Amino acid sequence: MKRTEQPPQFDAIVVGTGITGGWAAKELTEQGLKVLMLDRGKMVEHGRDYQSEHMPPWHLPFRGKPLRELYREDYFVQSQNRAFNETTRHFYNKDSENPYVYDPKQFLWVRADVVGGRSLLWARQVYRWSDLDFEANKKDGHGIDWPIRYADIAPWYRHVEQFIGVSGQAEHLPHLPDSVFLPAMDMNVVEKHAKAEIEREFPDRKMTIGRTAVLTKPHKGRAACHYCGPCERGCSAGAYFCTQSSTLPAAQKTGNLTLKADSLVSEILYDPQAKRATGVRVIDTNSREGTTYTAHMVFLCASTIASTQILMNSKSEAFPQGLANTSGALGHYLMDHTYATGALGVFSGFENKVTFGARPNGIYIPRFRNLDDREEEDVDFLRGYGYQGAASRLDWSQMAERIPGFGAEFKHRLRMPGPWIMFLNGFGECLPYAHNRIELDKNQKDRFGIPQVRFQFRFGDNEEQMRKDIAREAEAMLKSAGAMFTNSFMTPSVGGQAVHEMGSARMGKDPNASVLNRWNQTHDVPNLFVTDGACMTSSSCVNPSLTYMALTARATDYAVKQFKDGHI
Amino acid sequence: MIGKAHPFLITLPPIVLLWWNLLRRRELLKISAALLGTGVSASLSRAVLAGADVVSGAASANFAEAERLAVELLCDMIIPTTDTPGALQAGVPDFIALIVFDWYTESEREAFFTGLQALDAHCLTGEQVAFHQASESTRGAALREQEQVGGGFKSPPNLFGGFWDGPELPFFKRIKELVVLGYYTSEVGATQELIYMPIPGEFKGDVDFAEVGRQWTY
Repeated sequence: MKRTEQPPQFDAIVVGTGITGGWAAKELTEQGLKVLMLDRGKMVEHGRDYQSEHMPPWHLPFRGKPLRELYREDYFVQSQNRAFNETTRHFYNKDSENPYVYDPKQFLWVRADVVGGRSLLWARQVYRWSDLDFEANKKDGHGIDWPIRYADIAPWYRHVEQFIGVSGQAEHLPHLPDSVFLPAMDMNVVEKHAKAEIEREFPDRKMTIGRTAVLTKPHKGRAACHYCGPCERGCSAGAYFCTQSSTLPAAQKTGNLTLKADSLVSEILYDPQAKRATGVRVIDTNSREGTTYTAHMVFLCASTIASTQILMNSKSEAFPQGLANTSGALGHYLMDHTYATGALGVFSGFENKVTFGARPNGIYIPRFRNLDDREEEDVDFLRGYGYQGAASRLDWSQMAERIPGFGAEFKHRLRMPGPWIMFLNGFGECLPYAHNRIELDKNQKDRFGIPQVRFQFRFGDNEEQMRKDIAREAEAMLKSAGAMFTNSFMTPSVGGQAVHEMGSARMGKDPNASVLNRWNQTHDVPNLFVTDGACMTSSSCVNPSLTYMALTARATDYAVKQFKDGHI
Repeated sequence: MIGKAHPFLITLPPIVLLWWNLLRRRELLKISAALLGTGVSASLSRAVLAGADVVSGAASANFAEAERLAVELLCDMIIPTTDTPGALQAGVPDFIALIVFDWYTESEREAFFTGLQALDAHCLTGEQVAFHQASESTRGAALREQEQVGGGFKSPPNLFGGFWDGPELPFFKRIKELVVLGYYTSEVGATQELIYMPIPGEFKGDVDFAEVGRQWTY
């Protein structure tokens, strides 16, 4: 290909340092490429900057009570996330400073604002997809067909799992392929009981321990989990997978990585003559000075919404509707999993049993609806869902108000653990709808002059029908497991709540209907790749991060070969 | 969300609590005799009031003398010293001052002091002294009256997350929340009443409670 006179500064630029950015940087640098990795957030050094790690409760400001006014004014979106509190706030986006057009009924955009991104904050559940997922669009006609199948990604799942370390139990389910597993974590006594009862009552269902990117034995220089509980404060032992513990040190070891924090990518630069991306425009978030960096290729790994925002903001004569958007599909087919649906049960007969250690994991009930080999008579929706859950005893903070009175007896009762409860919370697959989309607001801009993101998002009838089934079946299973009391719940589910947002720059075979090809390469610009959640063509019902990682590793392998052969 | 149920999930039907209370009753009768017969709580609280050290407060303002005494007494009444130190020795009054002066909104602060005044009013009607000067039994009756008054208030699911706040929260629930949260998150409460285990090192899913005798906290 034609090279510009000034050689580019880097072989590759990776935008974003989260789960996929870290992977792209690791793989590219290990293949010998000189890589610049950028993040708009501030630096977080492994260990040193985990300021709340193992902080005892008596050192927490206001003992952990929320700073209501601050959250309302500056963190009105992020404070709704499960992991947000005073021990983690420093990792999150400040909504007032970096806003989007927020409508509580449309979409919650949970964002980190640090190097490492949400890899520091994620719930660490990792599940492989199967052909049930990759063939779903083709079979029922919703969305377009995936350009890949399980066989294409399986070796890359393996590649990723061997590096990150995944604890779990092999179950030999065709629709939920086993990963390369480290030893599984243990279920507690009530979970084991429930598993036995549920599997007896429902022979087509399975309950397994959660598959999680948390180490149960030392792995590649990282220590095994010590079960302190709140992973999201950061883990200097490196027991859970995040950029800082895993991919960043690997990339740095090569000597090929340049990492820049506080560097917001506002757009991708494009050369219409060469028909190539030439680099990125960057704004220093402190000085607000603009600069450009050039490279032979660009990997967008900024997270689903941010990557699409960058493409949309990269407008030129050649691409008036956003870079690599000849198809017009960019921004559309945004998905998230349904959330906040399930049931809770109270169990008796285990009052003399407790658990020791704060296990950063729960149980998983894999999808059992609409599997290929089964006739479903009473199911009025497409696709399926899986449950995450756990059994635990209510603790002093949950029992305090429920125990009447005060004094010595009250105190003594709070010393004892409360009743055993078990909850099941379903994650349901969301169909890809053209109307669920990301747009740039023409009028509202952020402090750097970049148009703000706006969402149009609602779950459809299929998701609502599925949620009813999720709640009903969760309650049925808890009852069959012997729960004395059960309570199903189905609170309003808003997009983004599950923090599994994906799609909006989907992969596909047809350049007229998709943004990316089977290699996560944009159809329009051969040296531009998008490997984060934006690339997803459908949503499955399993947690997506493992698939993002595998797709990223696979795409870098392809890109490096193309680069070395002189094609990009 | 993993491991621990999110507060929005933990809505239990009232019958669960009836069942649970019945279930614990026999065990409680056993331990109550051991704990309640000693009278240790009253005497210790008097000792502390007479000048025992209470950790210095970080609040930006201070309670007036009568309020401070009332708060200290309430700490001692709600979580007294038993076989472990109580809320007073754990420094909970300072935590309460911190919340009341530096965390509460103006209307919540007013509601807090209105509650203290209601306690005084009860004691003035009976013994014709303020709450902090009243006898143990009168103070107990005053607090129980507040519990009755606030009994119908819908229970929040959890002590964290702001569910307990707002000016409409009845005083009894308000003071109970403050004492409980302050106590179990204090060093004394976490390490002496509960078993503080910042680095457990392993997970065990099936442990006999009899071997432990109290909750772990992490």
